[in-house]
Amino acid sequence: MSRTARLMLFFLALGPFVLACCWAIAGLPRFSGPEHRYGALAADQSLSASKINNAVTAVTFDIRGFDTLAEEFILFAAITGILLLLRMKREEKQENDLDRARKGRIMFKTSGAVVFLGRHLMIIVALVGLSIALHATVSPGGGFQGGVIIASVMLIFIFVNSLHGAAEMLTRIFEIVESIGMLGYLACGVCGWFAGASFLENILPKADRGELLSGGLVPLINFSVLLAVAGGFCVLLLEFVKQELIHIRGDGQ
Amino acid sequence: MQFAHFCISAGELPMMELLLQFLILLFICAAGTGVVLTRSPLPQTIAAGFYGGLLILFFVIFQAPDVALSEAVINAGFTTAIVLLVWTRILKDKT
Repeated sequence: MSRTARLMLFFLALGPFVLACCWAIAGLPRFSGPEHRYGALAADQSLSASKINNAVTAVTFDIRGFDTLAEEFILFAAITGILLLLRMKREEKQENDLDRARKGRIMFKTSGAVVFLGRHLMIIVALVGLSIALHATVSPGGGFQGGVIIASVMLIFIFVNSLHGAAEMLTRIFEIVESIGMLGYLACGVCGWFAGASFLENILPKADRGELLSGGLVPLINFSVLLAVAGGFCVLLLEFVKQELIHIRGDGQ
Repeated sequence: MQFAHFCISAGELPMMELLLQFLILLFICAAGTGVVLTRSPLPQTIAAGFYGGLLILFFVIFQAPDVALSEAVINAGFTTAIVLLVWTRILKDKT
């Protein structure tokens, strides 16, 4: 399609789109107005029924726990898809080895400052991630945010150390961690059945509001989400970095 | 309904807060346009990072610290890193 034809199509579509947008926006409730009854109800429910101070956590893990389960499976499926797409083909490795031998490619050497900073940052970042994840019931944050922060330790680890033979092993380990997280979430749900309640029903006794382990089942679900997200994102990063290693491996470093 | 009194209508919002909200929305519009208009991939990655940084501010100003946290980590750590990794890989394949 030529440039003018594409522009014509764009402007043709722009009119109805803008009209539909205006129509939809006109129907929205007033900005930050008192009409948002769901917000007040959810905050009420999280304080009285779930006994959790952080209403966002109460909504994601207790009131809408089933939606979050589906969301976790979306992440799981996406990472499985990436594993499948980026898997190492036998001929790929050989071709690249020959390529490299011909060109005599040299690996970059990491500077001392980056190594020093990285080694110390890894501990701090991991602790911050754990703190954010485990304080889900009392302050902003939760399994997802904390998990991603912990997975970013993997990023620093890759910057600091070159991953010679460890990439395959690390991928295995984090695949298992991710699976444990997913199974943990499912187990939390199935527990309800054995107690004679429905799936994912919050059956555990709830501590007082403001305590770290308040909310019954919520801390357990939160921790399994932490495992699933941290493992999943580590696998994701390792897969992309292994694409680089296809060239680097066997360099005689 | 012990939380109903926390909801305030738009007319009662402090002037300062409204100004901040307006400014951040303006900045996001400008930055988003900038990302689209940057054609070269490497500068575009940096522009997208800056746009993500503005989104973090946006979420903080609109009182969604949970979302701001996820946006910060995903944007700073993962989007940039993965785009750069893919970009170097594509460059290697070309040579």
